[in-house]
Amino acid sequence: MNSLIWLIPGAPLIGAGFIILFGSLISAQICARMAALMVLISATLVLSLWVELLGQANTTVPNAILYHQALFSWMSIGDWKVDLSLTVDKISLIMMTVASSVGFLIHLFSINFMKDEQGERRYFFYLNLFIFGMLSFVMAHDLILLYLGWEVMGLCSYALVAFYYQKSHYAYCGRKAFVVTRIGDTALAIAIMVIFANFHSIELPQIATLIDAQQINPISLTLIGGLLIIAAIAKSAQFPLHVWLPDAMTGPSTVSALIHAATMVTAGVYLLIRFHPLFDQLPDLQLIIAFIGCLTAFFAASAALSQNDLKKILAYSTISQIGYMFAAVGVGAYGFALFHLIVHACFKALLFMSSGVIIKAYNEEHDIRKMGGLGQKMPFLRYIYLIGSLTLAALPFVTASYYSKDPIIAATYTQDFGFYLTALALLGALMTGLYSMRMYLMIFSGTPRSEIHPYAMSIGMKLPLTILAFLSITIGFIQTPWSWGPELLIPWLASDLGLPHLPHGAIDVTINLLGIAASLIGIGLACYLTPKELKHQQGLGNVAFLNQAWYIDALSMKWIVTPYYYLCSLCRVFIEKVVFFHVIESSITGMLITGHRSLSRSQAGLITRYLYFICFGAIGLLAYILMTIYPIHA
Amino acid sequence: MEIIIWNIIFYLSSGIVLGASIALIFVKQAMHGAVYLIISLLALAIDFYLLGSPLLAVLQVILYIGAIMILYVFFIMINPQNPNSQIQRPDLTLPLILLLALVIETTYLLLASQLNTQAIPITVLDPKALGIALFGHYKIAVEVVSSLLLVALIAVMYLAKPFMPPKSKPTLGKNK
Amino acid sequence: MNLSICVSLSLFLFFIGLTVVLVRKEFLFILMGMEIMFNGAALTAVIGAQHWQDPFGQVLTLFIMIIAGVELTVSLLIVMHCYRTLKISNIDELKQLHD
Repeated sequence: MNSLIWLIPGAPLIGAGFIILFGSLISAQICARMAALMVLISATLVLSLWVELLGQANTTVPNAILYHQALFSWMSIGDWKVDLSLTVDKISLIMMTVASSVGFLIHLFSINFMKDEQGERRYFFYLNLFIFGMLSFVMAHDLILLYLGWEVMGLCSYALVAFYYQKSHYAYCGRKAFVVTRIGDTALAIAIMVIFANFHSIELPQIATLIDAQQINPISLTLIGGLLIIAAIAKSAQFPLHVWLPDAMTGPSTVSALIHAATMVTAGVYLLIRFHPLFDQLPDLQLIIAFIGCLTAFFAASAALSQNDLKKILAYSTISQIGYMFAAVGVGAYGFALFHLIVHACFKALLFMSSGVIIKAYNEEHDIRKMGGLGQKMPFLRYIYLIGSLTLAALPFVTASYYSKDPIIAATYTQDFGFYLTALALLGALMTGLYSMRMYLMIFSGTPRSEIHPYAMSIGMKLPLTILAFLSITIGFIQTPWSWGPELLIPWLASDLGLPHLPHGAIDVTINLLGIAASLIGIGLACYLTPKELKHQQGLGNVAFLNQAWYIDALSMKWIVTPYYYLCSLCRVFIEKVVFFHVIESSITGMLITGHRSLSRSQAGLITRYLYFICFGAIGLLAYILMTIYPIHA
Repeated sequence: MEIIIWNIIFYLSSGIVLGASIALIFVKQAMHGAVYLIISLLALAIDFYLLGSPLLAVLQVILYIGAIMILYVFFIMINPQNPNSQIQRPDLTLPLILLLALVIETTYLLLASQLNTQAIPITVLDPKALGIALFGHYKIAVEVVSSLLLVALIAVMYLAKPFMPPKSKPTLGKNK
Repeated sequence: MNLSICVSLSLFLFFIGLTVVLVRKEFLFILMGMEIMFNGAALTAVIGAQHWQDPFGQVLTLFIMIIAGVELTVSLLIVMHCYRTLKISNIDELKQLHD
């Protein structure tokens, strides 16, 4: 099994290479099926890893590397070399499972969903390349491969957000996604350099041991931590840098499901978990992460309340849910962050894929105020979507999200300023229930407010949705609170990530009850408010402050982008036009023109003149020889 | 005694070489120039012989005079001097300055090298040694030179094509 | 017949050839001047062969002869083109490359 590790990221790369090289020779449908098959190979291999692993005795060795494969050496300078090697441990195994399995289901869904779209082969090329990027990111043994995967993901995200590049706004959104995440990319690149400068190593296990040895300057550690946080914030669309994600919804819905819900945006969370020994030593940074997470969870949920674009609701809910994961990382509950990541990948991929079908059924209409009444026409979709929405709302005891999100809220109480963090998280949970049910009710209940074109879903589309819906309900039962059911995930992960601190006794029960209450109140409020909003054409959707997401996009446009643009214009006028064009360029061109004129005069095309030049050369050569014979003494 | 005779012959032939070459600067007719050049090369062949290279002396006569200069003469014969070409007095200042500079420099160089002024004892170099050197040590150079000859052959055939008479097709009874 | 006289002779020959090339303007005379220059160089090689008692100098002379022949055949045909096609016999009129 160990020798086949390379095939896990390799198979999608082979698929991508095949499509880009020979895709035009075969039909687009075969391309699509082959792309899905390649991801299926990855997913099967990952599942077989699980089977093999669960057959063995439970390993409790801390930070055990389960599988390792060195493929070849990238570069070697002196005795230092960079190997292309893949590593699987418990954390990356979970991420690989999510990326490959959910990735495969989305590929399967896409085969029919993207049928006869323009650029179908391009779509599957980037999708396969993306899976390769994500898998090589999570399986990376050293930071160079990790960075490669990170950048490949960013590139594919950009290309797929701007998939319908014929519309200039969509292309703009793609650029926005690329540029904003680039802030994080740069921070990660600098972080890697600082790590190398301090640790003299880029191999992740070695870095972890060195951090545990506590011999590194704490200032450097803080610098590295800060840079990693910036990288994670940008990639995972957290509070100040979240602005790209709502605009990234211009891509196909399946892209949003894969990249902007299930995998890429969780890469930031994974990065922070990967470096958890570092953050364990820096409680201040942990507090910052927790605060950013809770604030984002609250803020994005409030923004999602009054969105009317279906996909933007989902985008803000993604931001909000990843906020919970950040909060979990910030309070040291890394296991719960991973747990919520898995659950979120399942139900959010489900919601996004269904939303693609809904939008097609309403003839490319994104506004949920103009939807409604889809429940009677497409009952299958209705129940699937209901499961997704309820899981997003964290309906107690039934849905998986309850088991993953409520422990996070409880764990935030143990951090400094725990009260405020918990309050923000609980408010976020309440609003999550509200907006998710508002979304569901406005789409499916009532009478149709615009024409419905029933979209016949094939079995290839229903199957992934069913599997994801099933998982959204059942996956929560692998980790139940207070030991009243199976507890599999957190103890299994404890050897790598440690056990999270949870409050005890009455506080725990209170917070849990409050969480249940928040979710139920949210759902109840939605059932009360949504019919009123539809009736009066006035309601949550009209709150401009929330609809514009606290005006952060506009403010950043005004206070960051516009001054930067002016700075660029200033540079263009003063540096480029004055200095470069007028001073440097004119002087250089002047010199060149004079020089080439004199040279071209010498190249007159007259043989006698060339002859004279030969004579001059001979004279010069002889003069040089003479000077060596009769040296001129000063 | 014998050496003195050889010396006299050498100086005489050298004088003929220089004189015939200098005449080239002044003659008007191309055919005269060709004849002067032939004289110069013949005298130089004698010098070669006296300097102990009999094979080269013979080759000088065969190759240079027998082949190259005959080519010249034929060329002059089939191309009568263009009467239209007006020969204007060329400006000689720059060439003469250049020449003078070169001559001065070379003289200095010659003086500086302090060559042996003793008489060279002439020994005849065996043509066999020349052949061995040519086809032993220099065999690649010989190959290169032979391929150069081939290239020159092709170039000449190509360049001479416009001067060929047009191939007359066997057209029966029709005058073209 | 000593070395310095022989080398001076070859130098004289070379410079006479150079003078012909620089002073005369007709194609044929320039080619003749080049022949003289070639011969001056060849004479040096022969002298060197005698001086060092080495046949390699003679090999050089032989190569000079052959290459002079090659050069001359090609350039004579080019001169023929100048005569017949361009109707010129003077090197200063050969300025088709001049802009």
